[in-house]
Amino acid sequence: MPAPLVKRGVRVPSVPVVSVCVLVLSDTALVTDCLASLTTTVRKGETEFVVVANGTSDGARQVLEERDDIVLVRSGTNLGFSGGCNLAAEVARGRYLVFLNDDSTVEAECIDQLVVTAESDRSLGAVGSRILSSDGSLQEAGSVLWSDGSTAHVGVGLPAGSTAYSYLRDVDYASANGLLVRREAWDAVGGFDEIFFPAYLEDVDLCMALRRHGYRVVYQPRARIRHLESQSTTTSYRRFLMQRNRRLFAEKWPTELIRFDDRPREVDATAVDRAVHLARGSPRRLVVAIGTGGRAPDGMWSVTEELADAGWAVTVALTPARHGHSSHPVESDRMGRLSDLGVDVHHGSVRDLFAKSGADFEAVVVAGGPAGWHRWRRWSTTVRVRGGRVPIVRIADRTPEAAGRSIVRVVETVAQGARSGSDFRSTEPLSSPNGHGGR
Amino acid sequence: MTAWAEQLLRELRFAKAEIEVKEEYIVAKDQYIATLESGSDLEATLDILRAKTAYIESLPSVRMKVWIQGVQCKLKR
Repeated sequence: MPAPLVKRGVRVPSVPVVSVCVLVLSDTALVTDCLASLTTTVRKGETEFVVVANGTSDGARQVLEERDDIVLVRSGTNLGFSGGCNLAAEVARGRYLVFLNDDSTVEAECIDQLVVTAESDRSLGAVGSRILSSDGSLQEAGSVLWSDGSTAHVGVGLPAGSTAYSYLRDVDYASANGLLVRREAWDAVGGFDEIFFPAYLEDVDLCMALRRHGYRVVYQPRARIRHLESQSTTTSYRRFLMQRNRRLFAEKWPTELIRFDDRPREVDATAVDRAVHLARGSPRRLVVAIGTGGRAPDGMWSVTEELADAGWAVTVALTPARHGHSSHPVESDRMGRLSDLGVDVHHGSVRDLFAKSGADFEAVVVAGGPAGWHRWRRWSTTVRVRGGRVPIVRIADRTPEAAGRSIVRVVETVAQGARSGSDFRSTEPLSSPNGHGGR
Repeated sequence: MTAWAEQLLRELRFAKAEIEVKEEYIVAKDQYIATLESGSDLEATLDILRAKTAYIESLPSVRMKVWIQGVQCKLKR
């Protein structure tokens, strides 16, 4: 008598909120580590683990058969990634599905962060994670798509500890490793398309389908996973599958792909930055420059949040400490709040930021005053960037209560003036208690 | 239809899919080998390399370096 197709362990919650779906091919040691990371980080009683033995041999499957804390689904043949995940979703009971590779482990609160994000907005169809390599370097912070159907992982190769791309944002797609999908959205699109057998591009296709059904796809940097990226096929076969599935994908979405950028000759940081911005819906961008020149920047944080709330894509430039002044470390609570508002915190020189995408910024908001932002720009009204000049809005000594009261209006007026070519010096900056705020 | 029968049909469908994909892979490999044998791929690679060389040589820093080396040669003479 063959083993049953689905074996539901006695310790699996009967009404879970989340179903984490993992496929196993042959190496059950990997999935054991994966499950260990999950069991120590998820909320008990709310999460079920659905493991699909995807053509796994009887011997290798034995270790999974003995577990009573998973839902084990057996398939005699390898159904590929799409087929295996679809099978997992058929038996999953959670209102959120999370797809995770067996060669990955989750970091603390990863699943919680994905769920909290999904619950914050019903229009979110999928939420992707920040994927790190085993050495801590960045593997993916969301991904971008080009008009020919080719793709690029954002931030790939950035060193361990990098905080780049640590903000919540809409993405073209997120890889199906640490990807949460809302159950009703999953049902609406019919799961993964199995034409992408055995693997590759199914996640890009899913995200396209979700958007077509009116759902958004976002990346949540606070959900972090580690990916060993073990390889179960040869490089040549992988390359063939990538090319084949890219062709299938491009044939499936010809109209939708027109709205994406053409793939540049060289996919450099500027090209990726542009594609990232396009995926966010091309919101207007500005820089809030917070210097480390000794002034408490509390008012600037309020200003930052106000501007982000108003729909600006804000990049905070935290310039490094100089001239003996101490820097202002950003508390983790604040970083979390800024991240959820889609604020990009750039640690480093404002010049570097401008060199990469300066012409795309419509304004620079600075803490004015003698001890404020860069001395070299103290009395200027514009800052020169690649491709033009960007107006400066100066704020001096704003208290948290006063900050943000009219900053949105002022910034919009200044930016509009710059766009229309008028003299933005004539616009009224925020008043300053010590007289340093005017231009 | 029982769950068993459904699962067997599913497995059969994917087993066929695997054969089809592998056959496509063999065809692609055969084509690649044929291209290599005809030498057309080598020509295309050489064209790309020539274009890259021309691009690198057109860079101001490279042109400047060549100019400096030329001046140094003249001075040595």
